[in-house]
Amino acid sequence: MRYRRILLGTVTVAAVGGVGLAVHPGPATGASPGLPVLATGTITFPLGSDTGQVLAFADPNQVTLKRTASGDTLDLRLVSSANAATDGSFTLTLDPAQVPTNADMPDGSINMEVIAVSGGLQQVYFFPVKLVGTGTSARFVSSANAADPATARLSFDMRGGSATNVRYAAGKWLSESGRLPSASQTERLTSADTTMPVKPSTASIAADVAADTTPAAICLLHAGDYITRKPEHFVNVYTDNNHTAIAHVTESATASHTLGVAVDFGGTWHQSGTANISNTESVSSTSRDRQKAWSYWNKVNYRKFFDSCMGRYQKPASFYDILSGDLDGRVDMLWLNVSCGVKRKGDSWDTGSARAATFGAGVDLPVVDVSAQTGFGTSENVHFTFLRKGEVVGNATDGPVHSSVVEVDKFYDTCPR
Amino acid sequence: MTTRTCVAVLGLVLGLLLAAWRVIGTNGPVLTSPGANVVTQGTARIHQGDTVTIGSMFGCLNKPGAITIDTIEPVHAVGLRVTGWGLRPNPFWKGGPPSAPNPAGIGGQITVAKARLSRLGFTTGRTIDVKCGQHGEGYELAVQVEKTTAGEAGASGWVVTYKTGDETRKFGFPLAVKLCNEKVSWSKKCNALKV
Repeated sequence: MRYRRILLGTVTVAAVGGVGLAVHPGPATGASPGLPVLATGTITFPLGSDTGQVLAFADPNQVTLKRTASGDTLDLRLVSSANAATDGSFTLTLDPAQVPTNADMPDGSINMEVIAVSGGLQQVYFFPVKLVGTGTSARFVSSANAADPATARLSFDMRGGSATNVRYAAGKWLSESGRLPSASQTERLTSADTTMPVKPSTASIAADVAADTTPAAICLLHAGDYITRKPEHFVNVYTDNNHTAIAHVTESATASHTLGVAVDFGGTWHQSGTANISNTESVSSTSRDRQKAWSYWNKVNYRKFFDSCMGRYQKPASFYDILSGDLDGRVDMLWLNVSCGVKRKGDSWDTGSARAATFGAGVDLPVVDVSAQTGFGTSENVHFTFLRKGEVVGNATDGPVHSSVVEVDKFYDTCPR
Repeated sequence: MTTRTCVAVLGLVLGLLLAAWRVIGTNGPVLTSPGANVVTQGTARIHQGDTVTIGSMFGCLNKPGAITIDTIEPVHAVGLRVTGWGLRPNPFWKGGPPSAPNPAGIGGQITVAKARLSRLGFTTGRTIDVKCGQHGEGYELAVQVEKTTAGEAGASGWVVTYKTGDETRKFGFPLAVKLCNEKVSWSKKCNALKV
């Protein structure tokens, strides 16, 4: 019955842009002062349109989805919306009380799904958030941007561009973690055209938002089959293969990973943002001590979905295994020379921060390769122990502590005095 | 103009000055350390009475201006006391000012060095006056500590107290250290120390 109502809404909103133009010629609306900001951003309107709406939905968490059998349907209720200003800018606020109880992930994050609508087109972007601060300083930060958790700034480029969080570069996680994808892989993450004709149910909700009436419609989420045991490249650990140091990796049971969401844009699949999975059931895992440069992998499960507001997509669902022993293996040594620090025999260096971009690199789905990034806290580390005098070398001029990739080697004499 | 009016005008002017002072006072640059990761450094063969210098604390400013450092203090310190601190230009600052001589001859940023600040080129300067950039613009901060225990020593981080404008602020470096007696820092006794 509810689905039928959405379909009927199609007629009402055949030209959402036109409705919006009549009602909202001026500033953005929808942001409620005093409520935490969920995201800010801009819509680059398609040619011929100068209005747009932004719709935010909180996705069901992995526990709820696990209980949802393939073929079952869940409601996706609108939790925040905004009309873009004439310059395309918008601000989404979100009352935490409006977040459905089945949306909170075990790590406290919420997987958001934001759809922008303008000129008969739509774009979608997925991103996980966490509520930080209290009172007037409360705000939602993008937990995908762990190096500097910040409120998402979304860019919907509806003139042949893609939807992005300008504060989170998905391609970075592919390129800085040792997996070194091809240029075309990285390019696909950032520059694909991800606009599509507006879906009837999306248009219905957008029209209500444009008219400042309470949206009656909801989206329907159909859960599909799982895509299990997909390798997730976790981290490359670089030693000089020369007995300078041994290293091991630890991944904790509280780890949360931010993995790419693959969306079907009319037969062509692209990544459009990320979603979190939290590790609640697996135990911590520690790798063997190794003297060789080594690559570590996890296995994750994805799931197919059909969303009445946006079509088909594949989203991370859960961990299958962490530090999977059948996938790891030797990799070539990586030589860095940007900054260094000398270590003596017997010393140790432990990167106990998931903020290091050395973690997480990507998942290859059957439809498209997507990015991956781990952690929001300190749940993973790489531990180097020095068997002889050596150096830690980083890729940042600010020093090895500030580097997203580090290697250890014996050539401490080359570390500038 | 009556006395009451004069007082009112004077009060208004003082109020505006105070407001301006507050705005200016809270608008100074802020110490930062972009991209700093949580790192724990373990160091072997450090015994009671030894002095070591702990560096790798990179600092720069979020905008042009200058700050003055008052203190650098440990967080959750066990068995150590701070006996000094200093600054030197980041060794990887391209085009940065030259450092003081480094007679200890230890290259790169200092992790934990068994040497005093002065032998590593750290000076008693207290001012940081460079905005963060893409070429390592900034200073390496270091603390000199003495191990005061016969057991294991350590700290979970360091807090810098500094003045910017007329405001006193704090900044924390999440750089943990362990100073271990044993030949290796991954010994059972040293691992037992949680920092």
